[in-house]
Amino acid sequence: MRTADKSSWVRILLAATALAGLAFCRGPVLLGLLAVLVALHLLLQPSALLLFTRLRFWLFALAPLLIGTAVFGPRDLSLGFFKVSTQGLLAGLWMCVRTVCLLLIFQLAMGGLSVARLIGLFHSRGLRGLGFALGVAYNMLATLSEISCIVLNTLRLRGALRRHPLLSLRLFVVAVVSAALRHGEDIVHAATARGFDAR
Amino acid sequence: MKRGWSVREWVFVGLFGALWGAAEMTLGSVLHLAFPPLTDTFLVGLIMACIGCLIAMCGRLFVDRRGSILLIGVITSILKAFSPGGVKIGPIIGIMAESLLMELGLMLMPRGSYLSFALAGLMAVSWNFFHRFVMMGLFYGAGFFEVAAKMVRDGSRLLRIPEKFFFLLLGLLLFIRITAGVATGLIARGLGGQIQRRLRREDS
Repeated sequence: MRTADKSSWVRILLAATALAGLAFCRGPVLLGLLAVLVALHLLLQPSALLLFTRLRFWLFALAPLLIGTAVFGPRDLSLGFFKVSTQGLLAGLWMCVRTVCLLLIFQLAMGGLSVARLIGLFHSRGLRGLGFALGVAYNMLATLSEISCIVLNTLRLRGALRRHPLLSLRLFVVAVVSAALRHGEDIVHAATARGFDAR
Repeated sequence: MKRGWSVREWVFVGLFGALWGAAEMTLGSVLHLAFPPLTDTFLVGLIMACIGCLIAMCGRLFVDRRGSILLIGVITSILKAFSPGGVKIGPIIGIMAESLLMELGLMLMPRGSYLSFALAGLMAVSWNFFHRFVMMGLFYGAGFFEVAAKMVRDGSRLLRIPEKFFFLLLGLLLFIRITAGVATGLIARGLGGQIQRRLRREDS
């Protein structure tokens, strides 16, 4: 568990450093940053590089390059049948590299992490309260969806949505939050009964 | 002085984080799909910022502690990061910045007053204006004037005002956000009070 915690913190630290680097890097230096990120992925999480095999990824990543080439600057370079702009090509290329860097940075930070592991990480670092709150939030999502559906159906069946749309929106929020708070009270009682103390 | 947070306070932080997270994961994704990317930051960003601020500031009335909104923001960001839509850096930076600004706004004015909520809402929702500068700078390395010019182009199309009124358009775009922020803050204070009264009534 300890080694896993350490590796998570190392990942987050590396990702934060890379993000800061990305904010200040311009031009060809970005290629260096991209190379470092790929190397880090090869070292820590090679499977994450499978991202490069997906068509959707390439469509997303190459879009700035295509748009840049077609839209910006005078068309002064011919590539076979096409005439493109060198200025646009370069601008699109740096945008493209930035996008890929950003994706890799986030994969680096989040890779191997799950909500359960993150909660464990908070607990082990003395942030028991935050870990507990995150656990509550994660497990509340299904309950909130259920509460919202019930409240929405009630308002719809009473015709409130059609007759008073704004008022029913307000009532919707009040009813959902009140019901969620009631549910929260039950969680508080359950946690207290089990002797949980977040202090 | 109160020391350490109680279980109830942590549960409520988690609960309001879940509410904001659920809104981001469901409504946020639907709105991003429904509106074209050109109006994204203005329409979707503004709507999501208002909803987020409304929920987080309501939460402050139930967890009356400094830093509670920031923690709600942290929980929301984590939920958003693990959402089925995948990791999106824009909304995560937006959520963190908004919660930080709300916290700062509530710190500057008397506790629980309508004025403090209005200021917090104003600061948080106004972030939506500057978000684009930060994101475009981070993603595309774009400078201030390039982003401002793009914003004016989009704004001119949306508000149907000619592009030559550059400063008027930028001012108007910021003013709309400020107004929406103040309104959100005041509504959040009112809604929070209404929920508190409702819960008290049910208890008695």
